[in-house]
Amino acid sequence: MIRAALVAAVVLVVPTLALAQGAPSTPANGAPGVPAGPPQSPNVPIPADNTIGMPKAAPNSNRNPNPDPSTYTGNNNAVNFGFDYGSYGRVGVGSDLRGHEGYGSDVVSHGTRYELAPYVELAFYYTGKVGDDTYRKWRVVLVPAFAGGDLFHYTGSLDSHFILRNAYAEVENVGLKGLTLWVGSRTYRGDDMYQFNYWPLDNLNTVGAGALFTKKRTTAALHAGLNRLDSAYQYETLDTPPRGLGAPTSSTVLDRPRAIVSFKLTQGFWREGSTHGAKVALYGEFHALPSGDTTDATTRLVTPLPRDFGWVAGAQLSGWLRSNVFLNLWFRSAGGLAAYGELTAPTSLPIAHKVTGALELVGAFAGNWESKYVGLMVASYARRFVDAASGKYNSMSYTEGIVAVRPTVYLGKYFHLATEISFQGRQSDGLDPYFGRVLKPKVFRASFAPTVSPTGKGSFARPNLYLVYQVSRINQDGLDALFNAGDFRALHDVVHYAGGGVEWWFNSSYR
Amino acid sequence: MNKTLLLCAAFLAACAPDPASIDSHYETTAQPVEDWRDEVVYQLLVDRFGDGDVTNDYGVQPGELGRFQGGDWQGVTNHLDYLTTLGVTAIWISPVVRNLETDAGFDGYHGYWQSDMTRPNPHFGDLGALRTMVQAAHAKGIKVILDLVTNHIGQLFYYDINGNGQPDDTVYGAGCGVQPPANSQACPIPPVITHLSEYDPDYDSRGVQGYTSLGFSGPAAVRWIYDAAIDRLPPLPGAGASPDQSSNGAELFQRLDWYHRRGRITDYGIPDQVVNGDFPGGLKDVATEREDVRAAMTAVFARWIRMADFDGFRIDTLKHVDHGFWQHFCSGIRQYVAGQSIPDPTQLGSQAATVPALTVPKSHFFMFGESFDGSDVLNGSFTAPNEVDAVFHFAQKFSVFDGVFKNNGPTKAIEDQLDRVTANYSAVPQPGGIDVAPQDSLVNFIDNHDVARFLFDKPSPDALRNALSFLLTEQGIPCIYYGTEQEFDGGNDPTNREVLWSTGYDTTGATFKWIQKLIGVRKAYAPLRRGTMSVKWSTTHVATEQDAGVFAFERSYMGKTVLVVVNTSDQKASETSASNTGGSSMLTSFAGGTHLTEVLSGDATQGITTDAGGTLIVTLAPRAAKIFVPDGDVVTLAH
Repeated sequence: MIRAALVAAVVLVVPTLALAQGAPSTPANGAPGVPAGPPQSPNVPIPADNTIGMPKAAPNSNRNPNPDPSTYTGNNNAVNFGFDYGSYGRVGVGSDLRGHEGYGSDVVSHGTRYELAPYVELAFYYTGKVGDDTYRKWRVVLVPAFAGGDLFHYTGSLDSHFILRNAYAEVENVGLKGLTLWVGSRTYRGDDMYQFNYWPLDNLNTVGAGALFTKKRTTAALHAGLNRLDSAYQYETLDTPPRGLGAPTSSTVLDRPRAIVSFKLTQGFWREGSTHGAKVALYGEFHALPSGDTTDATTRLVTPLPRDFGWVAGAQLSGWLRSNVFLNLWFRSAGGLAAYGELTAPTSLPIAHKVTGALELVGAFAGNWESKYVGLMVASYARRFVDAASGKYNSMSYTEGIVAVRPTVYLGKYFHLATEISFQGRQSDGLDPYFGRVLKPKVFRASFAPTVSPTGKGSFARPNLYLVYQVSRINQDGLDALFNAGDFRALHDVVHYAGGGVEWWFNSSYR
Repeated sequence: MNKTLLLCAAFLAACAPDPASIDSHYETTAQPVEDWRDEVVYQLLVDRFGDGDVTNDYGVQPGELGRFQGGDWQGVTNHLDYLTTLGVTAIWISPVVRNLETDAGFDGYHGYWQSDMTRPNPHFGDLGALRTMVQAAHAKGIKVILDLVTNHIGQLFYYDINGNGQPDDTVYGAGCGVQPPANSQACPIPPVITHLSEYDPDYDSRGVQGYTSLGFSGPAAVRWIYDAAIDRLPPLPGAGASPDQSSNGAELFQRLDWYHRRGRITDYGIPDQVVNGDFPGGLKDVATEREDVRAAMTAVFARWIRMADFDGFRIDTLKHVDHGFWQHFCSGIRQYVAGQSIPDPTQLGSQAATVPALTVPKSHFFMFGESFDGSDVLNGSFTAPNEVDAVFHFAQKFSVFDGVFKNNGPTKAIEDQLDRVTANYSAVPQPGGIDVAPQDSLVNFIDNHDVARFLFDKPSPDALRNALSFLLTEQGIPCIYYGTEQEFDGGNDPTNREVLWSTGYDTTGATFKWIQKLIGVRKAYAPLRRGTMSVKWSTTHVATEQDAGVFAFERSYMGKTVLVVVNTSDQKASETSASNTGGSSMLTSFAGGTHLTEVLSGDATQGITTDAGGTLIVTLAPRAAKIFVPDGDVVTLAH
């Protein structure tokens, strides 16, 4: 643990993601553990995010995936001193037109987003000067958020699913021009695929520190952090007799946080004043988990858990012609611990209690094109996940993919009609344990969304107030994969979602 | 996936295995078993043999043998080399279907509490893991025998004797119905009682009766239990179970009239109870006399042959099921393995549904069953025409392995038992069966998962190896309970169900080596596998007499003969002669002057020559065994 803590050092944040107040780009979170989307049956073998058996991750997508720095309204230097505020929100409701709530029917880890569960975050900032120099500054960032469908006016419940997405402080240009240092708890990531609420290259949540150094069009970011999940894989306590009389006390018998180091090098290519440009990013992560012992609470049998490791190597290539006209390409490979994501303890372990054999490969692209009358978003990814557990026919291993096209017609400055066509599919390597056959779930989906955007035209103009009708056609394997026997949803291979919602973002804390 | 998406995913999917090889086609193989007497069966409990996949270690409580321990099919796959090193050629694996998870503080790790007969038990892996195990075993020449239960399901319903709509562990009601209870105490008049569980009430030939403070209240309501957390739900295949006792609308195994509902067996001497009563522990007795039940049960297990390519069935609780069922079931399975499809009534809504025919038919598919009884008359009855190919030789376990090898009884008991085999078990092979008569293919065993291990009752490894010498040379098919080779000494269930991985799969122990050697000799000499058996020496002597403890027999096949002599005495060296008491010496079938080589020790000095009349005096140390072969027939053993 000490060794892991020493690893935690510095982080550099990718400058091309630097946002400023009023920026239309507000990146999203992706915290696994935050419920999102419709409830799924517990036996659904379709993992969320890149994990197994977790609730769907990435509850919102509130940042502008446009890689073009010129689309942002400013940079860190432009923030207001003193108190400032930002927010991301998404609230919607729908029906399946059969008398039930609208529900999701994605069979891949990251599907389309109209039926995502509500999510609201509030970003609070306080920025001060260092000395009398306005170029050098410090800032505290706090971002509480409310996730899931348990909004008071919907469930009648006073409980909310409260989370804290960011809580950190940073200093800029102190000691070295172009250098930003930060320490705290942070969600930390790059460009996303808005249509799928998915960050295909980098998306980390840790408590740690980092540094960012920018010089001209080159940036380097280094971060190191820890997390220690509430999982018997990382943390365990056992009841022990009290020293005197009274209730049992507890002893910590396993505590092994995961140390994560990430590095990103980004090189931009554009001329000052030009509307077009490109950038290339190389990205890597290293994960390390110290050894420990897990103890069975009943028998006190001790099982050694050896050290384990993980890695990520990936790249992004982006190009843009003008504001909001861009194409992003990603490739990511992850092995070992990192294949499961940083917020997931592997639920599937080989006999050696290491996950060395786990692998994730992702290829993805997303783009946007806009004219005076029409906008067009397109995105697709293909993903292969190989579970570490032994066995050629492991139902935890799978291949999945999705492609989506979203044309939008601007009927006026404020009134738009968005449509989206998508197809997604997935295939496991093994047999479904219930049906005894390989399931090949597929979903074809079409959406129609009349939208009002008071900030004008554009795929990323927010807020959006919209009505939506969406119809999905699910094959039988999809129904079998998603819903248990007896679930009324298992009876309907055509799924309607009719409803409305709103999405906004401004002045995000993410970069 | 459509072509567009496939293009995107092609580079990622390239490394994925082809699931078609485990999906839909369910290809089977014709494992060539010319004669099941050539095989040596190894019985293993999947939960105890090897833990190859910790992802399915759900609910495991290490060391608590009444609970799951974590073994699985991957664990079997991982340790097939251990079995081939030992020399066994077939494995009998514990049941594979989903079970009631836990009941009364014990887990369904053994597999005999089925709740869903159509799906694999996730504690042991998925169908891919099961098929992988069978394929890997076949690749090493090991046949795989599936254990199955047709007599009962798990404790999935209760009898609402007091009518309060909940299962009560203690009910004050009549406990003995119309039959006296097991302790032979007559029912009190009027019947009253005490401590009766609604899960497992005593047998009543009328059906379990309700009882209130005012007396009997007619047939007790029978109610399914709905507890998804432990898989305690109406069984599958089936549909439409109703919480009341009406069968209207329910299908297949969720129909309550597919069960006898008469309560637990309290007197094993009453055939009506044995066949129609619940198996103690609340295991609900299936109404196997119904034609629809027979057809459904046959289809259910025929599907498993197809899904996992099994080579035989070990069938549980034979004596608790009517003969008509076995005739239907065994005939149906034989028809199926021969390459025909059979009706499948479990496919609800399709009257024409069939269990698809095997891609490759199987010959000599072996079906043998467990009639846990010392009566050869009863056990032999299940080898009647069109019933099972063979049964476990339970009577021998009691009279020979317990009576002689554990307790030093006279070896005349062995000869007597062999006579009872001839008298009580069919001498005619089953039509479409294994082409060996049941009386020649009884499955012999020293112990198993339902009885204390040999070493528990007789803590003498020498005695165990002595018994193994007989097991692996006598007529029939030997079956070795896992852990015997590691000298496990557990008592009755569950302590006789130890985890094998605690031994490190050691192959150097004395008993492991002994079994290995015996199997090697058995494989080398066809008479020891297929030969007719004729007793050459048995004795009523048990103490210090000249021949106390000695048993000798010849096995002859295709003109060749092998002589086996064992001394079951713990204390003294004995010989095949009673000359000290005026008797004769052992007369063999060998001509006078025939020199025999002792092949078990490989020691040339232990050879012996018959006297002029073909008689022979073989002297053995306590618990020793010798196998003699005429010099000209000796073969070099493979190592």
